Amino acid sequence: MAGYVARRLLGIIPVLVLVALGSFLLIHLVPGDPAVVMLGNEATPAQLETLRTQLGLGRSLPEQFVLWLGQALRGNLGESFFLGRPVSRALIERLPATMQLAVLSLVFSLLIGIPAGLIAAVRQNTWWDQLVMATAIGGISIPSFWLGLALILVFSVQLGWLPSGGYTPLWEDVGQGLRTLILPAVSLGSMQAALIARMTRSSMLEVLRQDYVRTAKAKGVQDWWVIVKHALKNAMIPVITTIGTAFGVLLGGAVVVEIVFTYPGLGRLVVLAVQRRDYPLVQGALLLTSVIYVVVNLAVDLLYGVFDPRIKYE
Amino acid sequence: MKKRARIQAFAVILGVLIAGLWLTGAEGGAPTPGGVLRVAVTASPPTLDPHATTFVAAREIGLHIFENLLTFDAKFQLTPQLAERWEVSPDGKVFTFHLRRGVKFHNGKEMSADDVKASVDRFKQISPRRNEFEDLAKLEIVTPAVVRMTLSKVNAAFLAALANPIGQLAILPKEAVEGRPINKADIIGTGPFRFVEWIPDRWVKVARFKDYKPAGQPGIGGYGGARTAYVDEILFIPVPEPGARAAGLQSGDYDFADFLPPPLASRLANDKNLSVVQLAPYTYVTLYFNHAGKFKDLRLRQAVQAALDMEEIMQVASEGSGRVDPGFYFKEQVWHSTAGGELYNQKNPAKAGQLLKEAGYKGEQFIMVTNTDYDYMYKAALVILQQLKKVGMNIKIEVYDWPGAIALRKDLSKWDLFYSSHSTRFDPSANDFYFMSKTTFFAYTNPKMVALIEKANAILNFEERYKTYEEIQRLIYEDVAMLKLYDHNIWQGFSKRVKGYTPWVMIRFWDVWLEK
Amino acid sequence: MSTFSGTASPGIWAADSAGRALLRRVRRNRLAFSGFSLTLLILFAALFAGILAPYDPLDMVVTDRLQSPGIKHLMGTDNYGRDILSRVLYGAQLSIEVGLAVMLLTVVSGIAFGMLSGYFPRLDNIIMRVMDGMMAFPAILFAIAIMAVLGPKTVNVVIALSVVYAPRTVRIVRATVLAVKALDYIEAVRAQAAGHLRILFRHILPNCLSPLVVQATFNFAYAVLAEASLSFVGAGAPPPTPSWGNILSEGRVYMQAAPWITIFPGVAIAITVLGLNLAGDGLRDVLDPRLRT
Repeated sequence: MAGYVARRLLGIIPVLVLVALGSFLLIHLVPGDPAVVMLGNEATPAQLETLRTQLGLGRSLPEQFVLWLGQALRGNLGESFFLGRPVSRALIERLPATMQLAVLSLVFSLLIGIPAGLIAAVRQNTWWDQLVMATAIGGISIPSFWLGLALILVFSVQLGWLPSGGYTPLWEDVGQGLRTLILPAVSLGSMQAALIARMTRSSMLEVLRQDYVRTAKAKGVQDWWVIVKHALKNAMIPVITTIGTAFGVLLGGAVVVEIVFTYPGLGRLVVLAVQRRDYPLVQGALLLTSVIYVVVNLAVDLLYGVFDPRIKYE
Repeated sequence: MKKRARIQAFAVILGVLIAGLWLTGAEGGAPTPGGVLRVAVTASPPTLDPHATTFVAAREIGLHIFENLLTFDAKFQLTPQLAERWEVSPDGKVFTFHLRRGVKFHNGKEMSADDVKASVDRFKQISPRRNEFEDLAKLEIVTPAVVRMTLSKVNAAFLAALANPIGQLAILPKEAVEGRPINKADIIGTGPFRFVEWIPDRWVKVARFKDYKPAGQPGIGGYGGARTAYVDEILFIPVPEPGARAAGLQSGDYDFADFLPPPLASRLANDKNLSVVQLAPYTYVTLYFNHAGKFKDLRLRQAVQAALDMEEIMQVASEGSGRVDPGFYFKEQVWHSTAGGELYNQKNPAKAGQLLKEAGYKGEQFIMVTNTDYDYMYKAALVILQQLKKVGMNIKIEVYDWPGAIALRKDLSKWDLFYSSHSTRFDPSANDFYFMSKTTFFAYTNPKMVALIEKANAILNFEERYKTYEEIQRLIYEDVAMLKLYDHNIWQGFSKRVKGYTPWVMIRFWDVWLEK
Repeated sequence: MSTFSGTASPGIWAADSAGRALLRRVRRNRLAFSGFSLTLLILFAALFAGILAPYDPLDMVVTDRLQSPGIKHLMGTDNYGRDILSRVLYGAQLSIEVGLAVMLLTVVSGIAFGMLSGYFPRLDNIIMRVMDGMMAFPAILFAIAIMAVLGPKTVNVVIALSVVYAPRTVRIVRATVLAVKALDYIEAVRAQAAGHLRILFRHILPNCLSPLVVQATFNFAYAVLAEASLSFVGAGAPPPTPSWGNILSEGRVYMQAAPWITIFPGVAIAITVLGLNLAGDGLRDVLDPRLRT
């Protein structure tokens, strides 16, 4: 097991190098540069050049990349041009907000998705099933940003119950924090809830059909108990994959929802950084989100082993 | 007898008291110091170093913290700030500034000529406006309270350059600026508010500077005169989304919201707890021609000039919160003129079509570049696209974000029409660089224009200088050097608790207090 | 939509009562049927937008700005005075064009790289590393960055979205190739010294088709959603071409005063994606019951 983990971790490294290369190239290929943004549009070309050299943009691209990567491997992501502080600090400051939103969305999607999928599977082909599946497929089809806009229109503008944006950390004020998080979490989580519902349902159906389940049922063990104990554990495997993917989606896909709700998360930070051509910040942020995604996926893979004893890692 | 007198006296006193209470109530009461003013602004500043940038987000904060030697009043005329008076030599080349005594920096140090020299030196090195000081040949410290500047040639705009609040020549302590590269100065000034902290993308916090010495009398307006800080703290909170600014204002998260799009502004105006005001002057929207490309032909430029309907453009791009006016300076400014105005807002598609034919236009494609960062530039572009299509021009529109658009602008082979805006300029010389071949970015060359500009720069008398700039404006219209579209105003909203705010050019929170 | 991580769920055949299975099949097919109908409806609207649209989608009548839906303008007008119905119809054209193009590109690249990867183990290592790297980037950010580099053109939207969604398709093809490769009869064919290309195209490819077709439908839906999202954040097809996403984006400020600008394109997106999802589900059932949701 330890060997497997070690090998997987080693396998991540080339992926991360590729990601680093990709992040670097992408932002550097975008036309325009931070000097223009910093000095305003009436700066003289000579002045722009001076600033560019100061920012280290005068060197060749491969040189800049190697320098940046070398530092990044040591944990130093450089300093943001516009925030005047280390990139790592800027990202860490944003991480709690993004995490709160991602986790709350995930919790929401699990709370809705799993029970819905369970009910649909257990009451298969009844109107419960149809209702759940119809809602699920609706949830997948509605664009999250449109859902967000609609929710704002109803709950913020018309009813005034919830704020239309902003952010209060949960540890500062749980009540207010939750109020700012609900609408974005629902907008983000709805699609994932629908996916999880579908996945849970199909997975449960598979398991319920298996002989050992039917045997347990025949033995007279309480219906419900059978499901919970025997089926759920096995059914969770594909669901866990979906959770892993969901987390990745929530991290990066939150961008549009963050924009709709002016939520100060990583997504908005990156978009703003791209607009300002804040190279170190964009590179660092893309690298960070990718690392998180890869690590979460690895964790998900390892969790398989916990849930399915048939899978052994050597 | 005594009793009646006492009753009378009592009645008089009571009457006076009531009258007094009623009067103060009617005026909103005397300013009450204290409180925290939370201001929602559109962007986070890229830096707070006043010498390093002209960025709006930086200067609207900076003008609370820093001061110049002199500045402008409400009518856009020069007024003292850190220099209490100045003298100009008869040949117009030597300026002697007498600094005010006892003015303290936020760190307690007293402001003196050393600091002025250090600040000017640094400004000359790194500021985007340093070319305006190329003529400054010598700066001498005569005494700790007197600074003398000598120019190499007469420059009518020199004082204005010192006073300009945009990319201001802020005076900082010598230790805060000496040898400091860009963005690395200490944020220490002499203004009514001092810098406390900057948490990027959360807020910039400034606090009342208790030892502030006002630069003059109240009522001067603009950036001059006595500027009193009443509130304890101001938080400048960047909220890029206009919807969020409006929502935060309504819910009480912010006391002031800058830059509200018109649909939101009209909604907020119905809220009893809020005041909504229009800020003018703010900017006017402009359209540049690439004179090195297809628009070398005057008739093609004239065709565009004839085709445009400025009212339509203004209606859509500013939702009616704008003004159709030909002046290259605003009506509020002493420099305003309507010279050449008969060529403005012609709304004449027939004439445009005729001019295209005369020019032998065969349907060649023009590239029109606009951007998404400035909403009004984007909207104006879409409207103009349709107006020009109607007269038969083949236009392709390209949309970038602002940095991308600026990067593209450098390559004259890539565009024919480019959108921008001119925010409030404090001196007409600020517009010169567009029309001088050395500095123009749209390849404009006209020796007559250069001659007029150089003439204007050497005239110190206001009336004569004004007349010359009128000729310049007329030439801009007749030669169709570039086009002015319309004056764009913006809406601002604030809680009814905020008192004393007067909209002018940029947000200003001195002389503003929070009612309890 | 459910995404495959490259593993098919263990195939257990339903040994249920025949009646129940049939019932499910029919109901599923009814769903699939409605899915196909919706998709065809949108295709029709897109194809005949030129005839169906009552106005030129770019034409501005500034005096008719922000009119609520009425007889003259069935879906109302926007802040420029343009007819929303016409813009939504032309927006359908754009969405379908982009969706189809992305679908084709991802399928082609999926086949190309998936087969190479599944069949040749040495190539597999490199290709999968690159695919993993690409999938590690958050999708929307990746697309925004690519658009920023390539510039605002519709063809670049297609390129950006194809790059973002290709890796998933590659993985699916690869998984099927791996599974098929291990089958006995392939060994037999190999033993007959048949050429690689022949094996790939004659024997392996046909087996990949069903999961590929299902994934292609979902990719189409992803592309429609992603194009709308990109346009919404300003990184999509350039104006003044109407796209459902940019109609939504421009109408956002007017949500209180003129909610119709945001309602109709959103409904259009939902209907299109719904139709495609249902169709994809249905295809999945029809083509291979083992891969059902």
